[in-house]
This record gives sequence, structure tokens and C-alpha cells, in this order.
Amino acid sequence: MSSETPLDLLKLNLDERVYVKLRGARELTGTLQAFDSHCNIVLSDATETIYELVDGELKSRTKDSEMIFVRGDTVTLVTTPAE
Amino acid sequence: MSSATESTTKASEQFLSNIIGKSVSVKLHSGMLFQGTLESIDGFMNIALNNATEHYETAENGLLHRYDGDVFVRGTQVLYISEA
Amino acid sequence: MLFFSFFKTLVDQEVTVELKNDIELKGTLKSVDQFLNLKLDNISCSNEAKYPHLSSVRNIFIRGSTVRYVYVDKNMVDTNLLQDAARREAMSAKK
Repeated sequence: MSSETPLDLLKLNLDERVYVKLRGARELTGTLQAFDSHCNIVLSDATETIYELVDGELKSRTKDSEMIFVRGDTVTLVTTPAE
Repeated sequence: MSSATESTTKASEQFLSNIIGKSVSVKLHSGMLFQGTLESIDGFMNIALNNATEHYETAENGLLHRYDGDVFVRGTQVLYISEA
Repeated sequence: MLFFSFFKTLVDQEVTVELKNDIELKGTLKSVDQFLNLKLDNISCSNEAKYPHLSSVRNIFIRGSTVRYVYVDKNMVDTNLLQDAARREAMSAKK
């Protein structure tokens, strides 16, 4: 196995802004403070966006938090945020 | 370990190391389909893709997202990975 | 082990836990184990009207797997220490 693994990508993103996609039409952007092999994550200065269908119409709402722990089992994807 | 399971382990490991650097499709349990260049993959099916695009079910369905940076996809969510 | 240690540093602090069924509980973190099960004291529910069955509950044991988020105050966390611990955890997980 090569020394470069997918989880190294998260290590490179420590202290950087990241975009995290979660199950249930939720996403987060924030500064990556910590992660482990289960994809448990801590973000600082995070914004959560929740997408919902209200009477067949796609609505989104956001929620800000200064420090948030995210349990890894809902995480599907991590990347750098699009600017 | 029997020689049969040993050879299948080898076959899947060989497949995974052979497709590094190639263009791949990754399907998730949710139905989302990612296509991009495979940067790396580990034994948990955690995947790193470069220049990834996101579609629902098939690439013929509209482009939902284009990721310019490297994308980490969590292994537990992966249904399959194939050479595109 | 990283997040077990992380939560141990937060014991006796006030945290807000959001569960996967959308219930949100604020309380004092009393203990944590390796599964990230949590014990909270003096809880209040952010939406008492919606979850009246929790209004008489004062302390609670939360199974770790039902947690979606834990909201923490910024001043409770040493971010430099946390990032270094994450790097060390990533190194040791590789072996």
C-alpha cells in the first residue's frame, strides 16, 4: 500500500476551511480542527445548511456555531469549499 | 486462510492498486455517482478523487456539482468503485 | 481515542447535544466513555413544547450512536492542542 491514503487528505486540510457533506441533505463549512479514522470531526466557525422540501418547494436554512463536533457516521464527503 | 480466499483478496487488492491514477466512477448507497481521477483508496474503501463531478444515479443525469479541490469520500457510504 | 480524550477535557462544562431525531439537549457534561456515550446533568430541552416527555428529565445518558452534533463554546477548546492531537492520531492510525 502506498503511504498516501485518503485520510491523509483530511490531515492536509487541518486548520483550513472545509466543506463537509452529511446524510439527510445537510452540509457544513468550517475550519477543520480535528478528525479521526471514523470521520468524527470538529469544526470551528461553522455554518450548517439544511435543505428541506416544504410543500414540494426546496428550502434551505443555515445555522452558525463557533465550535461543533460532528459524529462520523453521518459524514459522506469532505472537500475544500468552492469560492 | 484457504488459498481460494487468499487469491480473491489478492485479486481485489490488485484491482484497487491497478486503478490508482485512472478515471473512476464511485456509487454511494444514497444513489449519488461521483466520477474523477482516483488519487488513493484504502482498505475501508475510503476514496480520494481529483476533479470530481457529482450526478444522481447515472452520468447521463444532470451535473449536480463539480469539485475543483480533492474530494474525500467516506468508505462506509461506498456501494462500488469501477473504472470509468 | 482522540475524541474520547477531547470530551474528557469538556467534563463539567455546558454543552448542547443534537440527536439524529432532531432533539436538542443542553446540559453539563458529566462523563463520557470510549463509545462517546455521554452523561448530561441539569438538562434543558431547546424545544419543550415539541418534546414535553423530556421536560421532567434532569439528567440523561445518551447512547453515542444517536448523536449528530455536539455544540461546544470556543473558549473551552485549545485549537492548537487539538490540531496537534489530530496529527498525532493520524500518524498512529497508519501503523
